Amino acid sequence: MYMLHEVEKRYGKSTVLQHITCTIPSNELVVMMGPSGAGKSTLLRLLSFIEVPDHGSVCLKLNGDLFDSAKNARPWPRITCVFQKQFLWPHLTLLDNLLLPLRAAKQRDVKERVTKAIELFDMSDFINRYPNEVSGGQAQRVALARALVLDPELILIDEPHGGLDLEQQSVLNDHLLRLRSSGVGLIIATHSLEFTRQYADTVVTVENGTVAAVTIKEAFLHPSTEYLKRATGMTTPFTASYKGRI
Amino acid sequence: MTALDILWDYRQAFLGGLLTTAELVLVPAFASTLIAIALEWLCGIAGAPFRRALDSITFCAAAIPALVVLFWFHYPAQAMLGIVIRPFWTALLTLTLLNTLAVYRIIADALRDLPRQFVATGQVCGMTRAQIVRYIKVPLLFRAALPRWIDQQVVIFQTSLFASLISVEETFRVAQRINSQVYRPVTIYTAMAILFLVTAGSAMYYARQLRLKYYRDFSER
Repeated sequence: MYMLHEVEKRYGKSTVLQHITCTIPSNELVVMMGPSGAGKSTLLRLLSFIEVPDHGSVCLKLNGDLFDSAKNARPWPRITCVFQKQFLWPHLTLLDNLLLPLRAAKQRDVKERVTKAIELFDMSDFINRYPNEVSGGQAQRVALARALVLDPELILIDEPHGGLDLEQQSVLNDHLLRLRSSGVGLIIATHSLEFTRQYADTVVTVENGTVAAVTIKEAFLHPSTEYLKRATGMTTPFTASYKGRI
Repeated sequence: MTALDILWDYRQAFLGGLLTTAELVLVPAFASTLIAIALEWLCGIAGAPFRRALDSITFCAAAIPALVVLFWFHYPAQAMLGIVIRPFWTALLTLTLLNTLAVYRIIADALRDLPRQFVATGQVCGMTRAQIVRYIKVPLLFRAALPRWIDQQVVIFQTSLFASLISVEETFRVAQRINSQVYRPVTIYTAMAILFLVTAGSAMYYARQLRLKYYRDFSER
């Protein structure tokens, strides 16, 4: 369970997140929604402890252990994060991308874990290539596999569906559900309403740099925030406005 | 008298000139790299004001021609300080100084351009700071900086010719002196061109190959 208290994050003079006080479950499938630029990715980075808030605190209670951003918490790799652009290390092959974290952690069953991950994500055809030699969907699978090989208890994923075709999205959703059913907590920032409707246990809505609502899925079907109302078509849907001629 | 005859007859002089040129290139190459790494490390410790000062100095050094700096160290600086330094040491000092600032710039740029997310990814994969430096930062920096570093050493190699203007007996000055005795400019300066083509050209080709090898297109295909 995450506990956020009066969290504020600034980059230079611009305040990206402010006045966030809420709790977010960490042992289920949480979907983070909100318009572009609302602060979802920043909130995800704070939740993954890569960055610390400028004001307030982020605490995570994970299976009896407490991690506090104010105390320079390093909960990795018990929690891990997959970024929007996967950031596979470009000087290593995809296989080495999987091997490096395991070798760094001095794991014994390195070969077993990697073989299992390659089978699970069906990566044997391209695992010896470099990151720039594969498609976005393949890179997404490797990034997810890299996050999984160390058996994390919670994974935060930023925009996993971005750049994927429908088939790849469906395959990815299967992987995510399999993870969920194996007890791994997932916090996913996405724009996919379909994914949210089908799979989310909890929906966190980020609007205007703050958490507007943390709702269970049933409540999401009766949206309370303006963004969700518009996104779900309960009020005036999103429309484009143009000035001048096109 | 063929080119080979000239080379053979004046082999001692040519070898001496090549040795001096090698010293003028290799000493700055290694010394500057070590000093530049130390400067970058100092920037990390001393913070933004030190980095800003160093950035200003590298900017000025890049704008002023090497020949002006060399002459400044050879004449006015020594006159102001009331000292006399052998031209070889003046040239070595100037080339080392200019190379240090250029190599510092290369390292600083490579560090600045390294996407922080590569490091963050290492963090969330549970890697220690030392492991991230060893397995992620250093290899990526090496790949980004090495081709530019080689190109910079080629520039220093070519700049070392200016040392002949303050009477340092390097390859070009030796060639000039021999030419004044045998008067075979076509042969001698063609030989010089071939020497540079073989040495500097090989280094530049190697740098280009490294650039092609290490370049990784981050976009999807």
